[in-house]
Amino acid sequence: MYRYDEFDAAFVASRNAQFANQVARRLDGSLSEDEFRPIRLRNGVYLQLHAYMLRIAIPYGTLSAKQMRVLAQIGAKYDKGYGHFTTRQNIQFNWIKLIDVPQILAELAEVSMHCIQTSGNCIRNVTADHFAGIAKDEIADPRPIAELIRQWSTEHPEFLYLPRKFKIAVTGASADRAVIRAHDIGIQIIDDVKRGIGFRIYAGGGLGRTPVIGKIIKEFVTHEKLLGYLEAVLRTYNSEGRRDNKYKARIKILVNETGLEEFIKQVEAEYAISDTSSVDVDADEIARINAYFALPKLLGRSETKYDAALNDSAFADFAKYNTIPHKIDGYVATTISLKPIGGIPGDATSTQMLAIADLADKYSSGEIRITHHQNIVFPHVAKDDLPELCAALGAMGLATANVGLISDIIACPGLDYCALATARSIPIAQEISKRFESSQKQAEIGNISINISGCINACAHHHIGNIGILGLEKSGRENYQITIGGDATLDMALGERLGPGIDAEDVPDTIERIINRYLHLREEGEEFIDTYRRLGIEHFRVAFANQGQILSEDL
Amino acid sequence: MPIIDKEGNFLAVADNVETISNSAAIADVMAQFANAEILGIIFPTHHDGRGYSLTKKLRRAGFNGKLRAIGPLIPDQFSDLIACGFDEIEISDEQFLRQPLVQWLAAKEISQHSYQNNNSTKTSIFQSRRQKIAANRHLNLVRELP
Amino acid sequence: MKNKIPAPAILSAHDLREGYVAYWTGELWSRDINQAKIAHADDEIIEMETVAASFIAQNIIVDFAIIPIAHIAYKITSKTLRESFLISGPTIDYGEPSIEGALNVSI
Ligand code: SF4
Repeated sequence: MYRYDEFDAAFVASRNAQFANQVARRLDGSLSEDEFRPIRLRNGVYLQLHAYMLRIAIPYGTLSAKQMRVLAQIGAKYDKGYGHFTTRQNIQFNWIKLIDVPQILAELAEVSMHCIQTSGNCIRNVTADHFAGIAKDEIADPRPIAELIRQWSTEHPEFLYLPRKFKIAVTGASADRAVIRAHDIGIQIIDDVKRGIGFRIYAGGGLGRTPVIGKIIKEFVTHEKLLGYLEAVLRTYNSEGRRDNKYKARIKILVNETGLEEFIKQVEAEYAISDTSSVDVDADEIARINAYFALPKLLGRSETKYDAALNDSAFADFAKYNTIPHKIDGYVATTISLKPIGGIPGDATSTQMLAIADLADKYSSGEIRITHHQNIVFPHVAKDDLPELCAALGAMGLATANVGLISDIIACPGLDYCALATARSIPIAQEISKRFESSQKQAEIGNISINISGCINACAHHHIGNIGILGLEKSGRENYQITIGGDATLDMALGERLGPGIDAEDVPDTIERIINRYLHLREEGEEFIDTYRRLGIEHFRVAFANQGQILSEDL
Repeated sequence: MPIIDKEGNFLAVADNVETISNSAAIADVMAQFANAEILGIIFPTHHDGRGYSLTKKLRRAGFNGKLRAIGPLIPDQFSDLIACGFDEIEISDEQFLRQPLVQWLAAKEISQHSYQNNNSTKTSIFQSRRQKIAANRHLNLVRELP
Repeated sequence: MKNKIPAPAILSAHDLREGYVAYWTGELWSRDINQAKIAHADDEIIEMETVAASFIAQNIIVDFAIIPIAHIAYKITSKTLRESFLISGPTIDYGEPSIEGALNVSI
């Protein structure tokens, strides 16, 4: 894992002193709210529906047991004893006082953590494949490059006041688990026969009001030149991106309005005359950062206990759904689901966080990952330790064996917390999860993703959920639009709307009818998305029509 | 209106400054103002960041005069403006009253560290690391001497 | 304000230092909605806006809102969806989240 050197530590310390000073100047009136807002957002402080919210960066979703303990403590000391893991691999606390933030930042800095650029119209915290460094289908670990981007983008003086937020994701595997095509910039590590390891760059992806799938703008950039190239993209966007309408300010709109070819031309022209020498990275620096991400020493282990435990069906389910094979034989990456039946997706109590930290020390070389599905991963678990780990997790209510299944729902905070929301998300997730409580039923349904956003901003990526649910307000009531057929992989697809919006109470029934329809229509070996792709949306409309809603309305 | 230069001096002189919009095209600006002594870039709001990139481009194109950021900018932006190539900042009297010179100086002082190489005199973190690695190498070499 | 809010209405805002929701009682800011002063006429709403502006200028509150309400059986409820959640707080039942051992961790 990356560890701060003295330079990183000094930087964060000075940033914290700066924010403490800014808070003081806000309180004494030197800074107006308009002046302060971008500053506090850039430090992760939002003013939400009920209180300030603090979003803490977990760069590329990797953290240590030690860091998790501090998060647990912040939850207990400054919040109500729980935290919420987000779809961008961060954590947020919902009840933070502004005047406590400087102290919280100081406590975070003790363990090399911060809230820098977790919000605001700047380059946001970089995300990456949560199985980075472990997955068998990996070309190279994306985290060293994500770390490099983190450093380069941190307080980049030119790009702190962009037209809108700017999200970057990196994947190093053949299967994209970082949803790179839904990002402003998506970076894919490729191994080119002639040129070796390098990066393919996608740009202009993003969901929200106008969902757009990212397109390739550069086939190949070398390690050395990557930051210089990103600067050219950012400079083009900073100069040309729209600032007259916040819904048209993301880079996706610039790419669409300029035209992909013309946009690429502009970036290339900018790149051609840029002096990138100041951000070119030499081999030494790359080697230095790479070294941090070396695998821990994983000793050869027998698998006898693991094999024996498979006789227990609950354990077998856990092993089946919540683990994936590790690069090293005898090990697995284990996902801890934060989606217990009827629970709040992505939430963990302080006590759970502490337990997770202790168990990570014991069973995962002290390393933890956060997934954009709002779950937690122990990257390096010996198979023979898995039965013990599973039992220990079970005691904390953390052994739900549902990863990738229908109750593994992604949901944003919605109108229970979010100032921008138009409807609630969490209670909908809870009801759906209860509806499909039976593990046999879930197994029968198989792999499927449900994503629920509480407004058009689409933080829960509802457009690319196999089933997407979008909460809106309609004549003073919460109203939900259902889409199906979204896909979050490199073959990214946006879901299609099934019909007019429905009431909250009708959502679980409707989802159940869609699922029944799929179970009825599917052929041997098909997942939900396959059946949808084979037959198209029309076959599913029946599920909706049964409800007595008028189909032609508002389609 | 109050002007603060990058050394932190307060300038209250009236002068002849040519001003341009922050969305001006670089070619037009250079055609018209390449030899201006002082060129002012207007920031319509403090969170409109186009002026930062425009300054970078102007410096790259060889503009040698002074560059002044004009608008409702705040002390917390001082270092970043300098880093992108500005020499001075002009704000309103109202703002200067609320955010007097000491705040500008303090804000500049507090942001001493930066990952990026830039136009200021600060050493970037990337550079510092390189220097440290080089120094260690040198030390090791010295140690290895008999 | 963008839209004219019809009376009866109350004034809410966030406390700048802590961020919590507070209601104008006519004299001070209270976290208890039942203490909220109710404006029954347009001019009282305009007066509330002036109050809000002055507390914003004093850096005591941020983000004020005039909330149209119904006043049923001595209970104040919002007529708009979003504000009804602002008043009610999160609708999720957390039980008592456990913080055992987390107040003072050794790192
Ligand atoms: S999707 Fe909307 S409601 Fe949900 S977190 Fe994002 S902004 Fe808030």
